[in-house]
Amino acid sequence: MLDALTHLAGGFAEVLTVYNIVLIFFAGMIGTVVGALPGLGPSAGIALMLPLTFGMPHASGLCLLTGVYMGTMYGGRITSILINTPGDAPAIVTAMEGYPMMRRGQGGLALGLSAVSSFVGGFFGLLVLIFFAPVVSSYAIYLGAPEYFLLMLLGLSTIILLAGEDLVKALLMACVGVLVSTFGSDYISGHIRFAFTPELIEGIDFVAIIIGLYGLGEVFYNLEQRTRLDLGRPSFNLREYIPPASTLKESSGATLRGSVIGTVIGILPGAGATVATFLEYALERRISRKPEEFGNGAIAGLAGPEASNNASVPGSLIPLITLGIPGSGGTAIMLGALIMFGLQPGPLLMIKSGDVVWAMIAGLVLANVFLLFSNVLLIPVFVNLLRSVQGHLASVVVALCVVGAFSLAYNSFNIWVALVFGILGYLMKKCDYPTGPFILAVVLAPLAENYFRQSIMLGQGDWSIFVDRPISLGIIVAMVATGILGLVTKRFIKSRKPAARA
Amino acid sequence: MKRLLKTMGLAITAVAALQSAPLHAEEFPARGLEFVAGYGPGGGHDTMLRAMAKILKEEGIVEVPINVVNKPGGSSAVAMGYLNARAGDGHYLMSITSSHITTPLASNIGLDHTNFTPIARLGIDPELLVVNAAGPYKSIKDLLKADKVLNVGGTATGSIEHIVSIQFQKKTGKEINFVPFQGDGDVVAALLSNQLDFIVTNPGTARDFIEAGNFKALAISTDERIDALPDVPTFKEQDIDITLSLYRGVTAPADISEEAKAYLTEKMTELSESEAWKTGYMEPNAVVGDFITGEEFEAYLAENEKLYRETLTELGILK
Amino acid sequence: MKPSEIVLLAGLAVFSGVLLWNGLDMPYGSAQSFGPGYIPLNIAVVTLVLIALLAARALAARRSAPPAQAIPGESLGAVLPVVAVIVLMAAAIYAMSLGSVLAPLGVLMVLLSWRFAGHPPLKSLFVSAAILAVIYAIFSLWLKIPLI
Repeated sequence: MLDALTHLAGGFAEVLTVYNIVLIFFAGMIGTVVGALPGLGPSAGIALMLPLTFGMPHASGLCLLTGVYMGTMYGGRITSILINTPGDAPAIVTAMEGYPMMRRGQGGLALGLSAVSSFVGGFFGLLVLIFFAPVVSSYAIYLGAPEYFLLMLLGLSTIILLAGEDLVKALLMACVGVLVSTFGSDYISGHIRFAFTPELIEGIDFVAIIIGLYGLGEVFYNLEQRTRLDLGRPSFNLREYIPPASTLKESSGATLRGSVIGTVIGILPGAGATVATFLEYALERRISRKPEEFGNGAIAGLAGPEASNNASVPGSLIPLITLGIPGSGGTAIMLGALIMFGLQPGPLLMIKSGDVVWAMIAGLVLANVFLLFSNVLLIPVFVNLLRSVQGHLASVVVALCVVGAFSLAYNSFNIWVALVFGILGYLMKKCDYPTGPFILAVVLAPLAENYFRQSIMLGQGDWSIFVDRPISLGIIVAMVATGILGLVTKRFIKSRKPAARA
Repeated sequence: MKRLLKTMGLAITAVAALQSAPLHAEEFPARGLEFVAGYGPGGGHDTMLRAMAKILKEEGIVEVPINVVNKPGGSSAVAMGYLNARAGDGHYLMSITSSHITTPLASNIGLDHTNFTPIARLGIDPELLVVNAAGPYKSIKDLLKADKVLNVGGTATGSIEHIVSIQFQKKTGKEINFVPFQGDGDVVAALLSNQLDFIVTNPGTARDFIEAGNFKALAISTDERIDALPDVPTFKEQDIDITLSLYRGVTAPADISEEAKAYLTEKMTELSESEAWKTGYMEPNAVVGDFITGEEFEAYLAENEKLYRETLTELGILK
Repeated sequence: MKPSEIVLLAGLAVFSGVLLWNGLDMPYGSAQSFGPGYIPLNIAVVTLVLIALLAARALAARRSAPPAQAIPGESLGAVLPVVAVIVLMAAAIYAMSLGSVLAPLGVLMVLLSWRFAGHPPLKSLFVSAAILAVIYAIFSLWLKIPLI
């Protein structure tokens, strides 16, 4: 512990120069703006900023990249809340609660509140990164395919909670999500599934799906409803953006729970962050005294998952800096950056280049603080930008969606994908089919499928691998227990809840 | 062998350069060059081409501007289509690795390596057989003596790691069970936690774990030992005839002029000999320099395709 | 069942039918677990069953209580703008594959603001041009994404 503090102090000593502080501040801002653009998430943000870092001192370059990374996680919530277009999977829950708040005219409040939760979540994640990184990574490698399969199953089980009124509709959409996820090459069997055109060899781009389903789908729906937004005139009244103490108090429990779930589950590589946000959302809805608010702008449903989301960011760096193993698209590009800086990512990185890594961690702590302030300051800018174009919102959103989808692979194929899913999203909203189960299945189903097959192969055809491993057995027992508990309490909630939302 | 290949490559380049030098030396390039990466920014292809472009400019090897463009999608199928549409124009150069062979085999895109003009293989990524240093296996012999079916990890069914594993089983008679993983990181984690008996992976991934004492490499798939890992014996030394490596190379569109071909070959040769390339790209990425050009590279690709075709057919992936 | 729901379910049925048909070509099982065809095949069948279930449920509901005459949002007048915008977008995306992304996008934006959001043509033109300029500055000039 003390050791970590000494190292961290050394890191701060390296980072606290005027040049670095200004750099980290702008890195956060850049990340926020890039993350706010639909189609551009952490991977694109880091990749596009990579050329800027050549020729910088290593610590500064890494601080720039991690600052951008952290910034994109803050930025992702902006488009989720303002135009219902999440930039990546963990931001979907943010759109589910934040966008209804925006439509009520509370966009500024939603952004302010989520900035605070992001900060708290990020802070939690950083604490774990600073004090427990070596411990976490030595335990995390003992999680193998069987455990990950069960984790994905746990994530998929929240479909029941996201189902809304009609379970058949929810199951149908989940199945369609599974089908959509099967496109492309299957690394377990070596086959390529449903590559009707060459672009489909790598599968359907997930971001193109959410751009269409949420962004374009909403535009089409509003065209039909002839919705006129009335968000008022642009104003810079700060009271509108800084959440009042009562709201912060109301959301504090959710934020803390979200931070814990995000650090525990969110740091697992792959879909850890997504599973964490959905689980936290399900938890908040389950324990809320006002479950009918969920889906219509519930404060706990916004704050909790947003904290989980950001708590996972420092966590995803743990396997990267302790073992050289990237756990997400963003950290995979960071791995490339480390190599280009001449650092060797792997188990010796902390020993050989510990000073650089600790400087980077200190930079992250600074970035998280800066991001809270810069984001609160940026909120009026974004909200007023939205207000000034609210009459033209349809064309602005279409433009951002088209350009965002184009940026995924620099060609028009993904714009077609977005259009198709836009039509799907419109019809689903019109006929009251839930999008949550669909999108969750798209993200988690292929992982569940692959981890399951991998488990059986590791067991050389023997299914007992799931109960032979203690952690795996533990998860199974926990899942069965919560399942039974869930059935009992669901009865209870149903009998208590009056006529639900239409 | 390696030196011989290099000399041959140089000889071919020299002849080609002599033939084109007198009359047309100034006609090509007529404008800037475009380097095409079949994957997005930040990926292996992208970083190689950007490092290449930077060194070519800084070392003064190429005078015209170089632009790196990304044409991601379809495991390089989109980039192949892009380059194919520019047949006859030598101002384009695309980076290629195993997907240049496997994508056309596994899907119906109507293009393969013969639709392009191979320029040079810049280096190879050999494959290592790696065990957990704390485990019971200290040598290949220990593996062969093990009283069970060995669990072997590598990336994806049909990958080079899988082919090496299959050959290992064929040549030693020891039964193995190959488990595919999504990426190098997952394979490493599975070996660290003893879920696997050994893995097949490249030096870039394993190097640091070997140095840290976590892993031990028991064999390498090259003809001779490599400079970066002098203590690792080859498969051949241990009487297992496996020489297989991944390659990193560049190819140009079909039907380009002789001048263009000679120019590109010459520039790649100069690049591969420059110190900046060796220290700035090859060493950090643990790529072994094994430079060949032109027809020799073409023959290598054809051989590579045959190997993949046979293996994928055997696995039932190709019909 | 609303006409739009019939369109949705019919579309999903065709989609899963196509995957079912193509999934038949892939191995259903492998030596130790299931093959690449297992999930697509089974889930496609489940999808079709669920669609049939929803259709049967709607039929049964109609038999017991005939639907009201006009459902809001289902008239041709309400849906027409959406269909028109989708067709316009498809045309614009097709035009983008010919080279420029920004030019067709600009036309689409002007039409959206002018014909569908009801702004005067000059204002639509001005606002669209301003937004396009911002997009061009961010994506093309700053982030170097090849957007023309």
